[in-house]
Amino acid sequence: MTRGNERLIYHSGCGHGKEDIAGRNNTSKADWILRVKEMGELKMTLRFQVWVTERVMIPLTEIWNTGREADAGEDEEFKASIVVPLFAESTSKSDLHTSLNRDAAPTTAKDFLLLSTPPGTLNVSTLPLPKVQCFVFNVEYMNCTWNSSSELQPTNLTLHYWYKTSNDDKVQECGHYLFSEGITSGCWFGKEEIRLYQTFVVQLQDPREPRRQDPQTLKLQDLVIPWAPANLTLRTLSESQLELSWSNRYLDHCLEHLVQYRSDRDRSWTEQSVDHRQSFSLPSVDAQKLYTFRVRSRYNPLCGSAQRWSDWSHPIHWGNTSKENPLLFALEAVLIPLGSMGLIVGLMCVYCWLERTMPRIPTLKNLEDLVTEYHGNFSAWSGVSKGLAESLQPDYSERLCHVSEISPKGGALGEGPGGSPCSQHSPYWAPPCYTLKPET
Amino acid sequence: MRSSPGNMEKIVICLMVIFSGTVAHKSSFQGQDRLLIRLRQLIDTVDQLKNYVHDLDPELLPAPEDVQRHCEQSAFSCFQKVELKSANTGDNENIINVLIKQLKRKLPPTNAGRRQKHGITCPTCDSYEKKPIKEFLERLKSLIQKMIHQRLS
Repeated sequence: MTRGNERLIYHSGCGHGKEDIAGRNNTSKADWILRVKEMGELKMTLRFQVWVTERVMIPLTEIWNTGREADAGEDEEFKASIVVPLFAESTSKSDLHTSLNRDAAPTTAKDFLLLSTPPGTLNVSTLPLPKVQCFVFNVEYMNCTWNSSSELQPTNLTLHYWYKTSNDDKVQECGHYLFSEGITSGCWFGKEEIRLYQTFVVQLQDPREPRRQDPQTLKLQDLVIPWAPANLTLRTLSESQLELSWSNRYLDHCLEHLVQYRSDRDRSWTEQSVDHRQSFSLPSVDAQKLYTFRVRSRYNPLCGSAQRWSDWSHPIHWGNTSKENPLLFALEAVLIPLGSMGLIVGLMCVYCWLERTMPRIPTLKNLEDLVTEYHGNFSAWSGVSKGLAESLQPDYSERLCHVSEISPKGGALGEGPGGSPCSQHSPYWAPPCYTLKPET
Repeated sequence: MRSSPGNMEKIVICLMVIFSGTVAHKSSFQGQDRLLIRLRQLIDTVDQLKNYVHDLDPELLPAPEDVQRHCEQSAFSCFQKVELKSANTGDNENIINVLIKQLKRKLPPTNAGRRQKHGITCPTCDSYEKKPIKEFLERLKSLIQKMIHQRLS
């Protein structure tokens, strides 16, 4: 006898889920499909228990969107139930389907009855324990921590550890727990408990429930974080070459370093990797700029393969520390161009004025123009302005003094009483007589 | 031709100088550096080989881990004895063969090496777990790092 689909929608505040369970023709198989969607931040863990004659646990991974067959013999009651952990109730953000279908009549063994167990079952054994993260700080101590708030109820988890050796592994419990909000959240290991080159295994345990985490295997040599470099010193090798050197506490030769530097005018850092030598030289520096240097180190690759760098060292500065006066700079930037432009303009003005006042020297080529164009008017041809031409005319009147020859009887020539400002002429040339009249 | 006694002396002195020069070259200080230099080179070699993992013959190889104290040299020689081959991929084959040869070179001797011979007995190579190539190279790198750390501290 076939039966139709039976639907059971589980209600416990656990989330949005529905199952389709179909019975089949004359078979003693029950297939079911569960589709559960995670809503919001709900972490769902579901476990299906199918009793046939015994409990059958179906691992979570097989459940999503698949069916699973379970055989039921004749006259056996086949029950399927869904057990949902209690914690889901408090964190679920989904809406609920409320109908619990109890109307399905129980049938013979070929059919099946679905019940749901009340939501009181606290079954958190499938919830995984948090992962432990360990770091070795400069091989002085080690901190292994885990996220204790990922647990739904505050639980004091315990940590056990051992080192893998070829003979026996001695399991030890953490001797020094670290707490956060009252519960254990980490473990502190001293130097004596750290063995870098042996495989380190940690295991968290919940003391109330015997559930165990898969032990985590770690290589401590890949988890070493050195302290930040210190004692940064700068030395000038030559006029423009700087050498930066630093020191690390312990582990000198095992480390590689990263140097970052920039000047006050750069927008971003310039990087340079350095191997285990603790010095770095910058070939050219500008003394007018202010440089800043900083270094960090890593335990890689010679003694370990760590990925995490140490913190940055304290920065060190070098160069011109006084800032340029911006006002002075602005003043200079404005005055100099203006001044030079003014000078040029002034020179041009002077040139123009001079050109107006000083006549051009006429070229000989234009000499024929004097005759043809200007008809002998010399001052017009030469381009001398009228005003200038006028000013060149003498505006004084001078009484001409007549000079006449003294008779040879009187005395020696040239030494006569003609010591006047008049010019002396040779005895055989008499200057013409004329008077000058100022032009009206 | 006969050489005069003066010439003979000069020749002898020259030979002695040359001889002492060659002897001085083999000082123990040099030896320690040589091992460290070789180990550093080996880290590079293993890193390069890791890039060619897919070009190597996929075999399970004995890969020592968590080696006892003083057995590091013996474990390293177990790493060296493996049959590493490139799986015929043309261009990379030459590079891979060069790297494998570098890996198989004998390590420079140290004073500690002698100690191992009449001390603890180290496990044989067969007793170590066999692992795929990627894990093999990781464990080899870890062992070299351990040896470098021992050398430096």
